Amino acid sequence: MRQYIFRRLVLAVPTLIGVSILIFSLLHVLPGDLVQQLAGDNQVTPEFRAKTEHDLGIDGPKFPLSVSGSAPFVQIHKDNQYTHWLKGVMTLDFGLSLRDRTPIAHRLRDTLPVTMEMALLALIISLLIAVPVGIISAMRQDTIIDYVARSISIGFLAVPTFWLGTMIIVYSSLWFSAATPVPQQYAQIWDDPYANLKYLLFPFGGFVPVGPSVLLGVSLSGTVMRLMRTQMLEVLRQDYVRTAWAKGLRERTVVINHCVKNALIPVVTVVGLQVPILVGGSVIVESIYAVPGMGQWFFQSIGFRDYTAVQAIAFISALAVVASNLIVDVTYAYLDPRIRYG
Amino acid sequence: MDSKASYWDRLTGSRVTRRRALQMAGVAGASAGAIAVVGCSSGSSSNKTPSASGSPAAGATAAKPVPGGTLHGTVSLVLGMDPMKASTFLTHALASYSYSRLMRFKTQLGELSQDQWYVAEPEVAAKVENPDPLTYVFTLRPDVKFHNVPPVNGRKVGAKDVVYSFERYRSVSPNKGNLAFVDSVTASADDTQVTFKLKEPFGLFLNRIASFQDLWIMPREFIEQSEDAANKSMLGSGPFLFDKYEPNVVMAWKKNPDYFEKDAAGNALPYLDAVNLAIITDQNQVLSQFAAGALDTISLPPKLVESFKGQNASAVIDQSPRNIMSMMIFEPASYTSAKPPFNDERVRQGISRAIDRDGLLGLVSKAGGVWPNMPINGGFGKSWWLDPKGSDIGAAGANYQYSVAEAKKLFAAAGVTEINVPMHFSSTVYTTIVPYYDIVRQALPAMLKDAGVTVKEVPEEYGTYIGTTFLGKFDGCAFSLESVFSDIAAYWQNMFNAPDQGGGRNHSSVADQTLRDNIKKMVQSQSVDDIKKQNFELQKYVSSKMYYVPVITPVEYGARTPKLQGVVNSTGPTTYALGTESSLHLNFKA
Repeated sequence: MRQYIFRRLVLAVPTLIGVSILIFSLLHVLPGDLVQQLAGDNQVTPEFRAKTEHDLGIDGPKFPLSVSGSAPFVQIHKDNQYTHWLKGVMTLDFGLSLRDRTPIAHRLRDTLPVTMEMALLALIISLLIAVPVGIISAMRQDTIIDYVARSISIGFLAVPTFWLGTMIIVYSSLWFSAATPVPQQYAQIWDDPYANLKYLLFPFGGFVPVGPSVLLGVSLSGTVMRLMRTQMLEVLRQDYVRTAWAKGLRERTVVINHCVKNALIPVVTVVGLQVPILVGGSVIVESIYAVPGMGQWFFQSIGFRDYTAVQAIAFISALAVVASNLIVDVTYAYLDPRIRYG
Repeated sequence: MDSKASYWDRLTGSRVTRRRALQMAGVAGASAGAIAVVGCSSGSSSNKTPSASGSPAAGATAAKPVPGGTLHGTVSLVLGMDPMKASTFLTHALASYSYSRLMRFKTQLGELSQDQWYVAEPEVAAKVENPDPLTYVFTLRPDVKFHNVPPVNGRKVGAKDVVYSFERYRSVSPNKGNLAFVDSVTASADDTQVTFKLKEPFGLFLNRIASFQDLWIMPREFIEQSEDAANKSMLGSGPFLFDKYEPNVVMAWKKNPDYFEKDAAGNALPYLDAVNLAIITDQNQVLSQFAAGALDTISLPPKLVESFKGQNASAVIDQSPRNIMSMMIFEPASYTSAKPPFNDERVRQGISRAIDRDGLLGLVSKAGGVWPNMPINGGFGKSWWLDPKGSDIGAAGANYQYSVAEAKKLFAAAGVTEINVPMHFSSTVYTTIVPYYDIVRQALPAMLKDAGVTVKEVPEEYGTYIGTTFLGKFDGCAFSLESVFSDIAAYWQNMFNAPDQGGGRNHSSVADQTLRDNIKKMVQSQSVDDIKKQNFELQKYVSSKMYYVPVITPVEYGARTPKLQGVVNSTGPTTYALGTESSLHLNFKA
């Protein structure tokens, strides 16, 4: 297993390098000029452009190689923006924000835990809802419980998260004159666990679960619940399960000891694939609930062509996806002893 | 299994056929619909009648001010804190909390009448002398100090600080073209007077010095601490001490206990103890926070005013004409190479006549607004803005009157049978900061279509828009907003002069030498009254030429808790100089 994990980590490196090249390239071909953005509505004079580009470190060649139509056709640039950035990433130095010159690492330190915690809570909530409901739905197939559960899961899938979040914000103020906490009331979990969880789960207090993590978790649970139900139905029809029933084992023993683990394998795959959805979905939810996380910052940075910030956040997100998929694969081995990584 | 299963076991364990399930769903759906219909009708009949609200009449005095309290407001974005390096009004608006200028725009406890809008008055300067058209001598107040924070530690603001600030402005500011006509700035030996020598006369110089985009007074030792010192903190001589900035969370200030200004009763200004601006991007979140009492003041999109009144009966709603110009601009080739159809002024006049401005204003809000002139809009007040609906505009006023028939006649007279062009617009940022932009942008194509003009909408993300269309790199036409300036001369020069003559906003490369000569004559006049007269004449002239077609200036709304008083009614300078012009006299009732 250790060898497998090590091999996967090594293989992740070219993946991440490829992702970084893609992010870097796409950003720099976006129309719209960062220097012009910084100048705002003013005309950009050549001296302003030269000075600004030099100050920001974006005046040199972008890539290690450049191709031209005349000789030399290929030029190598030892000192280029991409290599400089990549070197910084190796040492966790993501540079300064081009927009406001604050260290990216400092902003990541403040915002990344917020978004990761929100996403993790959302994932846990989705599993807490989806797995038991999927199991019960399968066990009580074609009963009222099954129909209600399936209808609710379709509802969760169909209702857009941003709409539901907006309705919660609007109607809470309309009916109860209540509002979610403002961003300065956010506390990290190690500083004030109660305030932290309240912000993400019960922002209106009273343990009413309508927070941003709950919203995200509920929207994810629909897919997982449907898949759980389908897998459970398939497993319940297996011969060994029939044998277990025939032996007179209790329902709980049959379900938990014999069925759930096998049914969870494809579910774990889907959960791993939901990590990028959570990262993307956090942008909207953070904006609606005023959560001071990475998502809002990411969205604003793209609009303002803050290349260094966008590169850093996209890279971190790619890292999170790679890590989550590794965790998913390792979880397979735990769930199914037949799966062994050598 | 127990043969005598309980009721719940039988209920939950029994199979439900698909037919039965669909029947149950249908009954549930019909019940929900009935409840919704009953709920809506009972809800509408119990809606509260909006309370009478609005700003007090101009000239009314405010109740006795009460010192103390923290103002809780909101801002959607913070794009850097250095007002000299930044180009956005967002940064400039916040700068006035901590920084001062030699002059500022008139502010007082109590409302301002329209002719008091955009009137420059001394701030750090005690008096101004103008011995000749090219010389202005500012004598500084002896009691102005920088904030009592290292490294300045509360020292006096001197003339050398003004000189340093000007030199820095000239070196780093993207707006430095606004003061390009200043030849030199020198400090007296006793550091009490600063002299500006101009290259050519400029009648609105004091307004230019009061501008929130240009000459903020900054201490050398603070700026030179590090390259980005002013981007990470604020240290000046303004009414508020910078407290903290957390990105996407909050920006906060505390009262400057050593601020030089006092009110008529001798009370120290500002009245507020602190200002706390939560950084919230979502409009619903802002409204929700206000309803919950977490915010004291917010801006209000026009479309939400009526529903807001119903939900927040006690809130006070202030209104004033918006000071951002909306306009249609035409591709530069129309003027540089006489490319049809917009090279012909009759076509441009026809476009203007095809726009139902009153209809657009009604679409945006019930309170409507005014018609902007070009390039001066209603937010400047009647001293500067020539009302296109009034009689003073003369024959040129016809170009603003909505008439599809007349528009078609003009197109026919120009020999244009069909107009089919792209219409560029910004699909982001503008839509957030200026809510009416998107409403108007969506209505324009249908309006123009009635007159035979087909526009193909070309949305552009803001970064792309500001780097291309806004700079004149576009074809067809565009629906745009204009930057905000603090004096009318800036609009004239920026929008009609050549790029190397201060024409940084000449989006369409208009090159009318007669116009430029008259603009120069106007700005060099030493009489403000004469400048106003010439300004009106120029507005008549460009209203006939329609180089740019102005669209609407709707009313802008703000809402506040009734406890908050001292709000100044002009949204011109006060929108963009929040610390001084807006917040200096704010206070909470006891």
